[in-house]
Amino acid sequence: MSFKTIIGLEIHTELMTETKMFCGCTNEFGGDANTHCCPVCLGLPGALPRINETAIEYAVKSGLALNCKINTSSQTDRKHYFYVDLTKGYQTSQAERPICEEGFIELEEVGKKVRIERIHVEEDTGKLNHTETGETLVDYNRAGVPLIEIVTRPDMSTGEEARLFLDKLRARLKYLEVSDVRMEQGSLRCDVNINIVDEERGLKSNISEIKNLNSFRAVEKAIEFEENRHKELLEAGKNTIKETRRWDESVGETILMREKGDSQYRFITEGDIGVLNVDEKWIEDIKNHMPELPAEKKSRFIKDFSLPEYDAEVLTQNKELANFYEKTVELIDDYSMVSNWIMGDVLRRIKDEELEIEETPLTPNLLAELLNLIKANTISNNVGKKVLRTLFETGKSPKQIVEEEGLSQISNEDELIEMIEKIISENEQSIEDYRAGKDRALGFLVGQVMKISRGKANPQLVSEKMKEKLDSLK
Amino acid sequence: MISKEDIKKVADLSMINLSEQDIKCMEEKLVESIQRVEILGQANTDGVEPLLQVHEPIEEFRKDLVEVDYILDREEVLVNTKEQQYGYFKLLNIMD
Amino acid sequence: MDITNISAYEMHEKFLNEEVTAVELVNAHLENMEKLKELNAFITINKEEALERAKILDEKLASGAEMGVLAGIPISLKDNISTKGIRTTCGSKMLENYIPPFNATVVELIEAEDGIILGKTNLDEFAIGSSTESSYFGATKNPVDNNLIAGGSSGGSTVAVKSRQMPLSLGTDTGGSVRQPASYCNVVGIKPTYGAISRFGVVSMANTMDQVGVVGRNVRDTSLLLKTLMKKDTRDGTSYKKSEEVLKNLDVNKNYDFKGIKVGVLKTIGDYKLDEIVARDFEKAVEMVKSLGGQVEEISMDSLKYAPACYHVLSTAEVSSNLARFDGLRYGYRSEKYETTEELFRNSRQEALGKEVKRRILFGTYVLLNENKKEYYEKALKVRRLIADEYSEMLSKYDVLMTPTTPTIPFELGTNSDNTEIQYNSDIFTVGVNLAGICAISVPFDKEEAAPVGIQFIANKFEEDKLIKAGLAFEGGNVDEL
Repeated sequence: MSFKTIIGLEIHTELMTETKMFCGCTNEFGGDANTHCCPVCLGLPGALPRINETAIEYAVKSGLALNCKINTSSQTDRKHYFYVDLTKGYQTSQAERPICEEGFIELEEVGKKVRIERIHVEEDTGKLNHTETGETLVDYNRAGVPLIEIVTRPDMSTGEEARLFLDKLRARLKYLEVSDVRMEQGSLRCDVNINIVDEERGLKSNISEIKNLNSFRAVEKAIEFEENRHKELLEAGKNTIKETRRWDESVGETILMREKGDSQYRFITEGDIGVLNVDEKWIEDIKNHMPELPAEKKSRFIKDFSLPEYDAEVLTQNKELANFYEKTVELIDDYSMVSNWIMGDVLRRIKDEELEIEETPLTPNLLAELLNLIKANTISNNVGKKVLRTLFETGKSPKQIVEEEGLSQISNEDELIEMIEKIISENEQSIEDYRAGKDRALGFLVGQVMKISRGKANPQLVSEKMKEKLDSLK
Repeated sequence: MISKEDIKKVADLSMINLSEQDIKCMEEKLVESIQRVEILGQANTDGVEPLLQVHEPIEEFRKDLVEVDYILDREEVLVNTKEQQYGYFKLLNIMD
Repeated sequence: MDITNISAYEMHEKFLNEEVTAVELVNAHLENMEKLKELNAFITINKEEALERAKILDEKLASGAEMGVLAGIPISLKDNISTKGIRTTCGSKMLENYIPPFNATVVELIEAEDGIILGKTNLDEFAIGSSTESSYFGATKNPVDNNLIAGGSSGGSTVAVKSRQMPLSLGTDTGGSVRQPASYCNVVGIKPTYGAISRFGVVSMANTMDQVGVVGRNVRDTSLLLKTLMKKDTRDGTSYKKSEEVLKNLDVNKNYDFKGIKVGVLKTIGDYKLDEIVARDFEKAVEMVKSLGGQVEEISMDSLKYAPACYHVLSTAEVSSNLARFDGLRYGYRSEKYETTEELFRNSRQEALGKEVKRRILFGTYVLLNENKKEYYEKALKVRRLIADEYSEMLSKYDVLMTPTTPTIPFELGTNSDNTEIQYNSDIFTVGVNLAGICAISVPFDKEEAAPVGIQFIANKFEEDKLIKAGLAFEGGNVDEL
């Protein structure tokens, strides 16, 4: 049987505004329970919402970055349901006329365009804590925090594509500085809608919605799990039910939360806000102040820094990394050396530690200092790697590390010749080999000198002097 | 026409418990209501846009500035609730 | 002299001239409130704080400080207007003990002008109703005749003003809830333009139609409080700057008549099942307007017959939404009986909301169901446009429209509150004004008449000045000469 998987995503992102969506309470993460609350976000009787200008601006920015059409006239609506974390019996959202529509993200890697159906603004809910003794404690600090919801069309067909889409989406939102897009902290949440189609037999499974996905990796894994679950059911002549499922990371499975009935949200216009007019002039203004996005930055890196496409792609995937690169090359005149170092040892280190570049002690100044030491032959490339490791661990500057650990390169010829002579006297066989025309022998001898110098000898100089010495012995 | 099932459905959605007798009484009243609003069907609204609000669009958006004066003390936040603990609203032994 | 027997203007003047102290004014009204307890106009009396405030005002006056335009005047508020530290019940068991931690903007405005908030008045539960009989705190009685209903939902406010327990009071008007009880109690009631007075802190019933209204014993008093409250409020996104300009240059001390004023009167007024006395008085009223120079012309409004149905669908839909927040969790009544959150919500709402409120919530939910929305809710929104457009067209041709405020005079207490047909019909002339978001005033035809009849003047958005002028002119006429 040939199956096709159909995947759509719904992404909620908290916006990094100063205040909440509809009131002037601080939008700071955390805080003591119920200390970021006012009559509006608590839903006290008589309190009225007033929409946050910056939240609208951020939504428009996001729409522009995702190639959306911006609606100059949209509408806020009330979505009704009862839940403990909701203070008004409805969530203020946008149903009929969202602020952005019809966008897309290009996945060049797989030659696919994922369409975005809509982006709308809405508010977050409060948080529940369950105590061991069975009580529920409710904190409304998060109630009313501004969100955008991004809804894609069902254009993805593998977990990898979903992952790719999310990577690009996250990079763009981060570039825009509209959200800190951290899945672990819940500032980016992703729900997956998935079903499969058996084209030969004209069968399809019912859509499952997967929630509680705490990382992009979890999104990928959950998709794989669901794909198999749907396939097995169809193959067994059964089908899935329309349901909402929860990803359980510990067992690597999705678990049924609830069956989806007919949803009766009783949407009505939020009359206290009503029509939301965003005039062309404002949109134009936002457009003019858009930061450079990953794709634009990538082509500029290729052009300005003569980088290969792959390198430019890697360096611009993340805004902080791209900034780091740009700042470093201002301090040292060697574009490819900087990119090689960042893409090599620096990124490896960051990946291993699961950190962001800005969370490490490494700064553009320190990296430039290190590379300049190498360029000036004060240390060798290999010692440089060692210095970088120490820098990551201690936060000390490269100069300080080199000094404290006595890592300065030996370029003093007398000192080097002394070592060369010592090695030659200890390796007669190698001299024979060299004479017999075996080039490998030279490398071996140089290596031995490097070894007794504990890597500090200037390798080019050793090689040069070694050759001279050996040739003179002929 | 509105049925008992309809009433149970809307009662569920609006989180109101109704006894059998309540339902009977409500049914009568809601049927009356439906009959009363049926006249709307006579109005010719072809090509008429719904009127969502009578006020003009918002004059200005709220500037994104923290309004310290309007933020409530935690005591004020919790003053009207029946149960609280450690600064949280509290529900007892919820089973769901 | 009985100090409660004079106008709010005079109270203010006498206070400024030190003929009477604020404390005396408060005490005189408190005395009446005590005497007239059986009318049940008040849910909460703000005695201690009001006396404290009166004392401060007396001292402020003595110190020679400049006084606000409401200085010394006791004012009551319908009990769906939030008062910081004073319980605000909405006439419901649900909010019996709810104490708002904040003031409605109108409260701040009154206090900024040195008015004294002396009590919270009775209302139909959550302002839903038109008789003030559905209050959890019992029905309010009509001072004109204690056997009659006060009208509603702002019945407590109009009764307080009529019976001199208060010179001025605020109500709210969603479909006639200020004008109808004003008519029933023979006092003046104004429903301003939607967006003219801040709704911040005013508990929503049907929020696209709710508006704070003012009740007074005469047009001049009423306009004084109205003018104070017509201010742009940054806490209410539907409040507008132009509200501040409307009454700015209006001189309420002048004598007005209807010369040069174009008045539209419904040609088909006979179709609306008017009580005989209402029909007779309205006819006389039209004659009087003519005799005062008004250019009266007959008009017809085809969409008006849809107004009550349109209002019923939209207001109940909004009620079902606005009352969803009362779940027993953060404030308000919480049932003791629950094992799940859903039971907590269900039981709290069942035990603490009244019958009529539940009915409206259920109907409002019904018209919003996926399967019904188009037929009812969306249809009503379209009809709303027809009604608003027709009013707008009429008001482009006429300065004011004139109708009886209600087709009937008040019925007896306890007889009809469950009769939806009568309730429904009684709104016919008032609800359209709210659907269109325009403004209207109800003025007593004859303040001394035993059967109260109110005359309604309707004007376009932000034309409250026309209402005040028409009201002053009408009040100045002599009905006995007719």
